[in-house]
Amino acid sequence: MDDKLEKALDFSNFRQTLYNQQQTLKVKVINELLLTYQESIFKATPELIGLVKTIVDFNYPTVIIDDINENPVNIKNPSEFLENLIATYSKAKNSHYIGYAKIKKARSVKKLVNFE
Amino acid sequence: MPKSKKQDQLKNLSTSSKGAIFLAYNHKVINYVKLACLSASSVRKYLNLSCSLITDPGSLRYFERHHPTSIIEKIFKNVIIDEKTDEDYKEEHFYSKYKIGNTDNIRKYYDTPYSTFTSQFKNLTKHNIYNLTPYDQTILFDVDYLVNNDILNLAFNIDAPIQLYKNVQTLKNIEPEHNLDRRLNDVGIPLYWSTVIYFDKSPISNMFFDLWAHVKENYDYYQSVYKFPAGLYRTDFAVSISMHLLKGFTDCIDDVFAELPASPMKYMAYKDDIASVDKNGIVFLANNYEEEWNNILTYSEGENLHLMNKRAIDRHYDKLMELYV
Repeated sequence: MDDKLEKALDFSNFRQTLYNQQQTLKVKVINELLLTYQESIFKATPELIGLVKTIVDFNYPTVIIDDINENPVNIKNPSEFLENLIATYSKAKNSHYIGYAKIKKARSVKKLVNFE
Repeated sequence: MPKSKKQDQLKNLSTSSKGAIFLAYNHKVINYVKLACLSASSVRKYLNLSCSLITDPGSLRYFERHHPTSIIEKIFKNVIIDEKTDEDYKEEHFYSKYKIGNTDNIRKYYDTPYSTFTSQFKNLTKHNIYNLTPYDQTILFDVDYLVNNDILNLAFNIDAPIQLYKNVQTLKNIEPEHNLDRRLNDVGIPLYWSTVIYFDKSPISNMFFDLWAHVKENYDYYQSVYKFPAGLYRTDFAVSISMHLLKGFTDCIDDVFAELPASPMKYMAYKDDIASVDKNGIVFLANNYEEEWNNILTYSEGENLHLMNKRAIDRHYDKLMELYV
């Protein structure tokens, strides 16, 4: 095979594997953003954290928030809920950052999939 | 409902027993009890749950002949011998309907695209789990499911009596390539997977398992209504029909019959293979459904996985077990 074509195909294989590993990492992080509170399940998104922080800043005693299935939940302690959201978000994004750095550093398919 | 009654219920929930349960009935090719030990080890490591094994006397005897008994005692808190199982398999009125060739309920299994084998699929009693579980809140795991994080513990904190997976993804992070892994037929109802099911001891859970039993008993009728492939009794189909009936013949997001946390469930298909296992994760060969010679390497670490290629698990069993020690 022509060397240039072989190099291009090797690079193509690498990009395909890279994309797949990035997708795997994203799905993993999305799952890590989940938390349960008052028997309901929420996703710790920046938007939700911003909303709950605003509610806390305005000293609202309670707030109605939709869970991931869009069912309304009466959050009785917004401050505590905010703490849980931030803790979950920080842990998940830290894991995302570490995973992404590892993928970014890899320069071959074998390195990407820890296959030596 | 009066507030005090609701509070009592919540109090009971917080003190109720939680656990994982595994069904393992060996057939001629696959040692399901051995696989259950691996799956339960992963559950114990990441979910810290008490594990129980439900099996038949023959499967247990076979395992004990080839492995130290102490392994079972170490991993499982309870071993429940399901004496009814053999009788169920003899039930001529049901079983004779699903004969293919000379053996009943035969399933064709792939081990990569290049190897196949057939064996009896012993899944007729899975719905009995509601009566057999020793726990108030249970997660039923298929023995080919490996837990690699603690996300499924969230299921115990959600007010939904039945939780299972509908959405799934392959190792390539795409929807299943085979249509029967998505729907019961090309334009049919969505497929719910019986691989992992959370349930409690509520009347609603009881109703779900009763309906599952009813669908099993009338499988021919439901096959003609829902137009799924005839021949093999698949618990995924029975569960999907039960969900469809209980949800009022619609496919809606429901807070009673909910999806388990960490949806979509990731799975390794029968034609995928395990390339190697390192100290943190698993390297797979993800096969292309339409071009069987075409594979890509994928690496999985910290993700829950349904490993359908059971012979691949067997080839790497010791290394996989090291992940959960």
